[in-house]
Amino acid sequence: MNRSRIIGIAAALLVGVCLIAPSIVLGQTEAPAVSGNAIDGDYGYGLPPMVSKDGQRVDDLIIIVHWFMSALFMGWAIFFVYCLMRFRARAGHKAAYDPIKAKVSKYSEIGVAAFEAFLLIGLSMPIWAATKSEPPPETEATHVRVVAEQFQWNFHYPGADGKFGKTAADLVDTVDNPLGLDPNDPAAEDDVYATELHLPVNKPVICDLTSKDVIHSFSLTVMRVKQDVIPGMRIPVWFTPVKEGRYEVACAQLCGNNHYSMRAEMVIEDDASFATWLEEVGIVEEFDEDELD
Amino acid sequence: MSGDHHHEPSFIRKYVFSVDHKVIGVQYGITALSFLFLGFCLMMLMRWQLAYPGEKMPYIGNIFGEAAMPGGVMLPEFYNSLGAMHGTIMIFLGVVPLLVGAFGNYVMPLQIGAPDMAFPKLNMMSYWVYFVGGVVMITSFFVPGGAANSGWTSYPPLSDIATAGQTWWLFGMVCLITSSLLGSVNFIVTIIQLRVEGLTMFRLPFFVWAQLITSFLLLLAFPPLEAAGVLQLMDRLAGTSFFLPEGLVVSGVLQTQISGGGSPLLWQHLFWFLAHPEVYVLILPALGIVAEVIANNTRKPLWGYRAMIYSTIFLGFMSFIVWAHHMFMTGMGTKISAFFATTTMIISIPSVVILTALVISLYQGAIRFTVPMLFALAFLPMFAIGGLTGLPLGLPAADIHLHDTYYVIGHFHYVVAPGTIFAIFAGIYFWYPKVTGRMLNSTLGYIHFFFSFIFINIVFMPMFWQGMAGVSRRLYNQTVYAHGDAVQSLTVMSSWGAWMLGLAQIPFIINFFISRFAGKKVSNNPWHATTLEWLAPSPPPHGNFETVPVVYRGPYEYSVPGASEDFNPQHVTTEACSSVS
Amino acid sequence: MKLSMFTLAAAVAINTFVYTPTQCMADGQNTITGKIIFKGDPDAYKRTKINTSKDPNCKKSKKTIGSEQVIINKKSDPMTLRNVVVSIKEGLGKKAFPVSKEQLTITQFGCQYVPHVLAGQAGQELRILNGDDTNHNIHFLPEVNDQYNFTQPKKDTEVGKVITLKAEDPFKVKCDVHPWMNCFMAIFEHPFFDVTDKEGTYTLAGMDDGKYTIEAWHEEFGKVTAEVEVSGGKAANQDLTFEPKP
Repeated sequence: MNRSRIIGIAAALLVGVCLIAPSIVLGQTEAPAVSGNAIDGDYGYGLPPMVSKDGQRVDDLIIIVHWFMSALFMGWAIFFVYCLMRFRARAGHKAAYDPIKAKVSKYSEIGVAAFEAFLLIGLSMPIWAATKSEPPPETEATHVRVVAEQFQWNFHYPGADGKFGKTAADLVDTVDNPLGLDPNDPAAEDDVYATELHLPVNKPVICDLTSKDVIHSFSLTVMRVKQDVIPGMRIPVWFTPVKEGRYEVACAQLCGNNHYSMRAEMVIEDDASFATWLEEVGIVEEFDEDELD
Repeated sequence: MSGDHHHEPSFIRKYVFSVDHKVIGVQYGITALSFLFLGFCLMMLMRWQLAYPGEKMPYIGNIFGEAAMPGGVMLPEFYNSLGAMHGTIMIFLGVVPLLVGAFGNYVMPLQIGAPDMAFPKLNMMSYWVYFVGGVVMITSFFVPGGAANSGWTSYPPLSDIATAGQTWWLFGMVCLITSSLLGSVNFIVTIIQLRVEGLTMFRLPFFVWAQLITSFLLLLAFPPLEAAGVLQLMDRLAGTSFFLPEGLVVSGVLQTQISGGGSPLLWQHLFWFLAHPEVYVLILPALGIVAEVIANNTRKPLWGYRAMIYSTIFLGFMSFIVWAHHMFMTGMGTKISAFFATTTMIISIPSVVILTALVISLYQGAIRFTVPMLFALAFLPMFAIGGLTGLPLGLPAADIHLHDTYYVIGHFHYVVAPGTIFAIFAGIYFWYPKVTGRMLNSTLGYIHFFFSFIFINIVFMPMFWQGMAGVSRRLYNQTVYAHGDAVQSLTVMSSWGAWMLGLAQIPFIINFFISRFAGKKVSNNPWHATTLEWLAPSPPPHGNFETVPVVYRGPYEYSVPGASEDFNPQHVTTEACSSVS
Repeated sequence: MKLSMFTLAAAVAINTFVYTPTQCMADGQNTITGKIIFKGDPDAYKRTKINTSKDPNCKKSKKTIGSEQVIINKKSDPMTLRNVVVSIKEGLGKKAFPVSKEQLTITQFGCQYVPHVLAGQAGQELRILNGDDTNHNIHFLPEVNDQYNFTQPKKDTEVGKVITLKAEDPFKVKCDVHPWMNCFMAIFEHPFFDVTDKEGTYTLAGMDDGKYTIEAWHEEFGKVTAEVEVSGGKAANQDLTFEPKP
């Protein structure tokens, strides 16, 4: 490579950096947030806060995979850059016709395959099995039905009797009966409906996911829980929250115009507050227009 | 063809409804590059909304009409349309037609020494069906409710209940799929039947092998999606419910007109059964182009040529049994997920083999840093990043956190944008002299390369951090979430990168058009390459070769000891190679 | 177009307190007025506070909102019903009426539609405004008209396109972001319609002499009809009664 070309490359890089700099500076301007309740936890550039019992295993796997990827990429990149510098075309340098006989590539490929097998069989599969096939005992767990619709999360608690009332699609009314509860079913009488997900801390939770209309995805980022919600199917997920606070429920699957605003809040609280909330949330207050300010 | 019956074809026959593979290749190329540019423009619009949610778009905000951007502020439905159409246009109207329709059509027959494709009229039909598909897709922006807005994956029930644009999308897709099917049959027959004497399968350039495997993928993977597309059309137009379960309550209204009994997951299976092999349709021809350019510019044979071919065949086969790794979050049990995760890990091995072979090919070469070579070299680390970041997504447990986040966007864009599209640029700079008889200007080419390389990384690198932070894809405004608001600055950075990347394409566009008339004139073989296309005149006439060539050796005989030149073309006899000139 | 806060507040106020559909285009002399009477147990239809905690931005416009399906004026005797659409159903013959030039508006305020029931003439222009600092998704659920489904993600914006509707029996319009939000629209071929106000009264004006069937529609209680004969510019009085079965 001759000198003018090196200068050219350097100049191009410099101009590039100059053009990027303002973008990074502009990137610092805070976009106006949609205000609401304060959400707990430090959110930043890395993994978000993690407040569930088993979520750490997912995080560990992600971190191990990324170390592995970085190591592979660095090793590979060093060889790549070395080749580019060492074997550039120049006077007196000729390419070799015969292929190199090095076994390094073969061994490294076998190494990569072996490590991938370890990641899959040793780490990923046990986590997956635990999150998909080993539900906590029904008796210990808080049971919630999560009903997704465009564009709202509905939460259905069984109430004091621990039994969910019957629901039917033809009973659904967006104002009076969002869940389509059967008024003639005694089990439905004490059922609680909410648009906020409240859960007691340090107790396993089972959420049964159903959808009224299209495919949604129930995403609890801080719990490391994500599960598509598919109409016509009832899919359970479970986790154990370990830290009190107010967090977010997101929809992670495009579900229509307002997919982005399909957000709910999740409150993890102690048993007493949870019990109080459960009693109070269902109370319907009378509305008197004349009292209004 | 005997000379007596040869008539000079009319202009329409020669340039519009042509059956010449080269004209069709150029038609494909120009159309697909236009679509690529259009898809890029859609993305630049989206980047405004992402970076500055709900703010009026400066200068051009008012030209999109009140139904899309009232007062210059983008509506979510228009954002969703842009997202769905960006994906569709880039994949089905941009990259695949470029790789297969343009490069495959133009270069492949030349590389095997054929006078044309096996079925020239089928070839013409393939282009025009594609063209109709493109027109349908563009038109769909102007129907009430706008273009399809259920994502490029069009998951039902959302797509079943979507606005009229979705029906247009499905019609367009049926056209595009038909076009690809016609093309793939033609490619397979041409490669099997029309090779010249001496050109055995293991003397084929790697690019031809890549096209062959790609054609098989298209042939086998597209019919399920065509069927699925027709089923979804029936759901929308004829009242069937292939993808709809009973008891749907949309917007509080029980959908009594739906008989039910369908499964939303059926669509996903059919779709991904196409769309995963489709990923390899996007990448294999790109690897083919890169292999050609690297062999030519390192002046040495490709390392592990046969291993690369076997890997490609294996890759093609495996790509049919990994599709459900897109569906880990659909409620899949342990056993099924273990199967698909295992096949996914296995399919990474041949990819690693091909990439390793390409990198080791650099070793002991004499690397010429021409513009096509820079793009081909940049392809390698970009593809490596794209491939490596697929690893956590392929592990079901890690996918729990990363699924449907920006991490996925970053991952496949690294494969397709700085990966495949860089390979496309490499191919354009490499074969432009063959097509036009003139070189592209290399100074503009270097400018194009360096800026593209920098900015494309600024666009996509932040997405990995966004994804780690848990930000979902396809969000009109990520700042409504605390974890999204925290990384909004990355979105802004990414957006500026995208707009700068747009500016970085200007030198290329200028170069592309000006060089057609003002570029340096070249001989038949300006790169001193070995494969057969460089034997034909630049540009090749109708019928391609003045005399039918005979092949004597493999495709990459560079720097053979004892030869007079550092390249031994496939068609030159051994005696001629070693004779001192 | 940006609306000033004042215009918006004025629109809300007008819609809330003095909203009357326009009836200026008819050239007849006769009027029909009356009350919509509610006979039944008002305690069975108590209004309730709506829990808007799903979207904290709703409270920015209005602190408390109440359910609007049944609004009974308990102070009058007999009790009357608000938000009842009263219109002429039969007796107009084949006569065509010019379309009112006045624009109809619906404002989204405090995550509620104002007015809750809107009546208009086919071909009359309709605008939908957003007075909330949040995102709304207006979803029409008609049988005859187009099923409009669009968003208004910002405060002080209005839909650029002006909607005109075809005649149709009352149909629901709802918000897909705030499921409790809904309103009803009734669109007629003629200008003889009204929606009962707080006092439960209505006025139909401008008919020619003749015998008419008038119909009252309420979203919970359905329809009742009555026959009225008018002539000579005298105001006829006709009350209608809803008597829901307990």
